[in-house]
Amino acid sequence: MADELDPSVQTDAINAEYKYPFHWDLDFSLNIGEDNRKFFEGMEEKRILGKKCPDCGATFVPPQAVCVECYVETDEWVEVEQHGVVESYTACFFEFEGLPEPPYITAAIRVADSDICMLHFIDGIEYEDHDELVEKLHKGTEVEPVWADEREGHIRDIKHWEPVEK
Amino acid sequence: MSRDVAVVGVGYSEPESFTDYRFSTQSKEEQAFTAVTNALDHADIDADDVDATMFCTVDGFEGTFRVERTLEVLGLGNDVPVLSVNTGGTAGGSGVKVAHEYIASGKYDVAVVYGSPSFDSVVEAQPVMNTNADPLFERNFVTAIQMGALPSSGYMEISGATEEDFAEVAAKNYRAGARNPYAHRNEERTVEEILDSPMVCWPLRRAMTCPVSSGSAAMVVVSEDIATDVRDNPVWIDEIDSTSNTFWTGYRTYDWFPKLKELSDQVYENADIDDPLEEFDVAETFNPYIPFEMMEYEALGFCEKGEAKHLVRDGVTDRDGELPVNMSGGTLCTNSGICASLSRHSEVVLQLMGEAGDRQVEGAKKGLSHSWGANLGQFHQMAIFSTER
Ligand SMILES: [Zn+2]
Repeated sequence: MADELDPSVQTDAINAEYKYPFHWDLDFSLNIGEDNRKFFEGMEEKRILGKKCPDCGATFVPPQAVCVECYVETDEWVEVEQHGVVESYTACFFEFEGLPEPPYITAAIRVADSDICMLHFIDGIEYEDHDELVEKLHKGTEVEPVWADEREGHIRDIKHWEPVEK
Repeated sequence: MSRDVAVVGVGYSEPESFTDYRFSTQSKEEQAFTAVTNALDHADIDADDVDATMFCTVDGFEGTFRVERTLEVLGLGNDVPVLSVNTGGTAGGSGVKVAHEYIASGKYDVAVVYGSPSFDSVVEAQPVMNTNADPLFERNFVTAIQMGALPSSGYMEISGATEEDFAEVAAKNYRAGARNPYAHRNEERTVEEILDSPMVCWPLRRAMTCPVSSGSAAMVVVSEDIATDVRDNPVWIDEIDSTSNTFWTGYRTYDWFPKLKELSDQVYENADIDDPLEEFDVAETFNPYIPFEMMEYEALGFCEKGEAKHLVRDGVTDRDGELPVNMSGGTLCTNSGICASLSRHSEVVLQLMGEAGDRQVEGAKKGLSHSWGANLGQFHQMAIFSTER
């Protein structure tokens, strides 16, 4: 089989005489708006908030300012049950910048009766490799949040989700 | 006023430029000059006659927000617009759509669509790709590979497709890539070799995911009068359309591509396609993560939902099957950059011109191309090409 260059090899290391490295160091600070501010305030208090559409009744967790189906502003806040269902998941076995030490599991989780999913980590499952993991985790697995002791109004105030003990 | 629109030229940068982006030595300007010149020569049209250009890329990879700067090499006059198109992995297809609409309207007669070697200039592509997700919520948990893995894993659960099925599809693409001088990966790999490659992100092994590639493509799109004037075998654009999902991936279905099904239903209705498997002779779909190709068979109506495994096991989409799919080697083997989304279209065009070299499917008259883009398929793009109008 054809050998491919290892992902860790830096582009500057190859054909260096043809490369002109430069660095683009830019800082940004996003305005998050009122709905996100309120959601993150809830997270600090270990509460999960969502918003409902006045027209179709859909619930959005995390909250969405506008129901994209109806194109109306959502107006009703609800605190939802701290219970989720896995829609899909993946375990990552390679290291990527800005993400945890592998292996770790990322899942799309439907929280309470939300119409949309929240992406988050799942932990608390012992597995040696993917074969063992797929025996233990499925579409439909019920999960609950594990809160961080120190919370600062961030999506990672939930450390991860883990399967509900039956 | 609406006129028929045809593709009369396709050009790529040099075969050697289709390589790991780290091996690439040519400047963006050099690659653009080669691809555009090859496309214009192929079309037998002078640069002077071009009256609109579409530059397609994903901005973050280019290290500047003046991404379209490379098209200066066209030597255009003052009155030629350069339009920048960025719809993630569908940017090339969107560029063809813009060109098609401009020319159909009568506004312009000759357009060049250019797909950039986007990744040339990044040191690491992943951190740039990661900016594609919502920063407050989703970016904390994913990079591009998870965006490919989440629907792939969900699809396995609902469809019964196996790792072996994915490896079969990948092996088909590697066999095809080995016939394509413009493929980055151009050696065959067996199912066993693919299943032996390291697991990156369940269920995606390294050999089931695209590499980060260099290489560029260009296409010349013209009005009906010019098309019949410059060549005997112009390829007509029967239908071309695009669709968008929400930016937030929380809205997605994580086990196939329902938005693509909606788009294909619409496109087929407009183009009078009743049975795509029967009516198309060749298709190119966007498969940077190989399970996508199977989800796309279903969303593009080649089979019912959940049934793609049978097409794979029966070889229906292989070279000698009823509908050969990705005979270029697909995004998996050819090029993973924005060139890739234009190449899906340019490869179908070459097939219909009968000029696809060793990858030619004999007698291809009608073909489909598709591309997928941005965070977890925010965009889909489709075109139907035909030798007759
Ligand atoms: Zn609504």
